[in-house]
Amino acid sequence: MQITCKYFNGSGAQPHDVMVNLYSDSLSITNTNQTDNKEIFYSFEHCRYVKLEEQVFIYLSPAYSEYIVIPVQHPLSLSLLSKISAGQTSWFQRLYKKNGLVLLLAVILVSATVLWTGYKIIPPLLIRFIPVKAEVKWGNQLFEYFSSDLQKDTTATRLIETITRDFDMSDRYPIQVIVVKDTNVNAFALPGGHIVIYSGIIEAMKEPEELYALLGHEASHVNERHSLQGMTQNLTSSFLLSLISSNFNGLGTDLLAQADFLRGLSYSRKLEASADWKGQELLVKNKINPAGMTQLMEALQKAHPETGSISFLSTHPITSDRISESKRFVQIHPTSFQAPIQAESAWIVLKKLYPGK
Amino acid sequence: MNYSLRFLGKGFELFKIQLVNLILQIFTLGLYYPWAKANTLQYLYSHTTLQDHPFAFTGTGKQMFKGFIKAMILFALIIIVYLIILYNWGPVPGILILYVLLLMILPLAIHGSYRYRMANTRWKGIRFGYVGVRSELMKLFLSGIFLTIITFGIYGPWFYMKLRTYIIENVRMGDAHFKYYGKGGEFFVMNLVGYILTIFTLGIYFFWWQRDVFRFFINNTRMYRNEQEIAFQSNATAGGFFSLLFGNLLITLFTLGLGIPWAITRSLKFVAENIAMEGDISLDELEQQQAAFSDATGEDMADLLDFGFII
Repeated sequence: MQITCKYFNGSGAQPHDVMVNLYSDSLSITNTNQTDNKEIFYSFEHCRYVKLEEQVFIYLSPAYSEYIVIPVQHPLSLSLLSKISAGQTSWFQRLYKKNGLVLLLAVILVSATVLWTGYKIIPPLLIRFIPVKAEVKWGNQLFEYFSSDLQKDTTATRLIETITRDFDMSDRYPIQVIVVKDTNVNAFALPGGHIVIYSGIIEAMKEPEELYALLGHEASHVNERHSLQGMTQNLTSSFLLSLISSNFNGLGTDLLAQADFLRGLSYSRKLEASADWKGQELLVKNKINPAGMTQLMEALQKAHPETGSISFLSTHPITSDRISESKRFVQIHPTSFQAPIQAESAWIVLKKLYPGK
Repeated sequence: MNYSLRFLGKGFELFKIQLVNLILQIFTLGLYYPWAKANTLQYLYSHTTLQDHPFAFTGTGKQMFKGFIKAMILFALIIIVYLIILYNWGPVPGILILYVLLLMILPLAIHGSYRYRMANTRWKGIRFGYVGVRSELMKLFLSGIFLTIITFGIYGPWFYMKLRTYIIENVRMGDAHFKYYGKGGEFFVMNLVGYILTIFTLGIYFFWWQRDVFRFFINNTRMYRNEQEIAFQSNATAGGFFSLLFGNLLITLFTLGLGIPWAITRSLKFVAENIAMEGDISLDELEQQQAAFSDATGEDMADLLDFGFII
C-alpha cells in the first residue's frame, strides 16, 4: 500500500516528494528525489494528525517537526487515520470520543460532589494548623489597625470592666472589651479576643442581661474561631470554584481579596446562630439569665437610632428564627441565676452615660 | 504576493475539549491543569493555518506541570514572606511587599512564557523563538513601571509600546524576524481620543476605538528575512468589532458561560480574517534556526498571575 505525497522534514519549510508505505503498526517514508533513497520507519503510536478541510496533516513524531500531507479523499487516508487514533489511549482521548451531553452531565455531577465534600473537609483541617497564640497576635495587629478609626470611651470601658469582672467569657483567649463613641447600633469581635461595643448599642439596651448576652455572643465568635472559619471557607470556596471554572487564574487576586476580607469580618448566618447558642451557654455557665439573649434581640429590633444605621442588624440579621431559637434554649436550660452586685451599680452608671430613649 | 491566515476551529469541538479537561481537572483536584492547557493550545494552534498549513503547539502537559510546580513553589515562598511580614509588622507593609514581589515577578513571567511559547510553536516544522534577554526586559519593565507611577500613569502608553517593541523584535520565525514601529505618543493620543469620544458618544465610539488599537498593533508590525519583508495590515471595521463583541456578550450571557468556547473561536476567526499579509518573503525557504526550550516555569507564572499571552 503506497501513497505519494508531500513531506516536510523539519529542517526547512520546503516540501519534498516522498513515497509512503503502510504497515500494520508503522509507516515508512522514502524520499523519491534524493539519490540516498533510504526507507525510514515511524511507529503509529507516535503519530498525531490534524484534519483540516480537504487535507490531513500527519505528524510523524510528538515533536511535530516532520509531517506529511495527504488529501482526505485519498482511498488510504481513512484506514491510516484509524490506525493512528487506535494508538492514542490517553484519558483525554478516551473521554473526548464521548457525546457532548454525557460530558456535560458528568461535569455537573463531578463538580457538585467535589464542591460539597471539599467544603465539608478542607476548612476544619486548615483551622487546626493555626495556633491560638498566632491568632491572638494577629488579632492584636488587626485591632491596632482598626482602632485608629475608633473613638474610645475610657469611662464606659472601665465600667464594662467592672461589670464583667466575674463574667468568665473564655478559657482560651484573653478577652478585652472596649466601648467606642458611635451612635451606630453595632458591636464586633476580632479574632483572638478584642470585642468592640458601640455606644449606640448600649443605648438600645434596658437590662444588664442584654449586655451579658451581647458579650456572650461576641465572645463565642472568638472562642469558636469564627473569623478563621469565615476566612478558610472563603479560601476553600474560591479555590474549589477556580478549580471548577477550569483555571487557576486569579489566585494572586484572591490573595489580595482575602487581605481585604479582613476588613469586612462579617459572618455567615450559620456562624451567627452558633454564636447565639454558645453565647447563651456562656450565660448559663456564669449563672446569668439566658433569656437576656431574647431581650437583646427584641430590643435591637425596636431600636431606631437618630443618626447612623442599625448595622448590628444588617450584619447580624435578627430573624424571628433567631429569637425563637434563643427562647428554645431558655426552655431546655432551666437554671438558677443572679447578677453580681458590683455589676448592678456599674450598669446603672453606664446607662446614665448612654440612657437611650 | 498575498499570504492567507485562517482559523478553522469549531466552537463545539473546543467546548468538548474544555468539558473533558474539566472532568479530568476536578478528578485530580486541579493537577491536570497543565495537560488541560496543552490540549486546548494544541487544538487552537493546529486549527490556525498560514498558507493552508497549520501551526503546531509542541509544548506538553508534563513540561508545563514541572513549570507549574516550580511556579507554585515560588508563589508559596512569596506567600510565606507576605505572612511573615503581616504577622510581624501588620497588614500595610505586608500588602505593600506582596505587590512589590508580584511586580518583580511579572517581567520574569513575561520572559519565560515567551521563550517557552515561541520555542514550542512550529509552522511547517519550523520553530519560532524568542531571543530577548531577561535582564534587559527586567530593566525595561521596572524602569517603565517606575516612570509610570511617578507620572501618575501618563507614561503608561510609552512604556507599553516599548515593552511591545522589545518583545516583538525578539521574536523569530526560523531565520525570519519581526519589527514593531508603534510609538508611545501616537498610542497615547489614540487612547485619549478614544476614551473621551467613547464617553461623549455614550459608548458607541468604543468600537471605532478598538478598531484603531487593533490596526495600530497590526499595521505597525513587519516581518523580515534577508532583504525581503512581509507587511501586516488590519481589515477590521468598527462594525466588525461591534458584532464580534456584542455577539460574544450575548453568547456568554445566554449560555451562563457555557458558550465561552464559541466566543473564543469567533474571536480567533475574526482576528485571523482581519489580518492581511503582503510581501515578498518566500515562506518555503524558511530555515530551522531556533533552539528548543522546554522550561515552562514562566508560562505557568504568567497563568498564576492571571494575565494572558498577548503580543
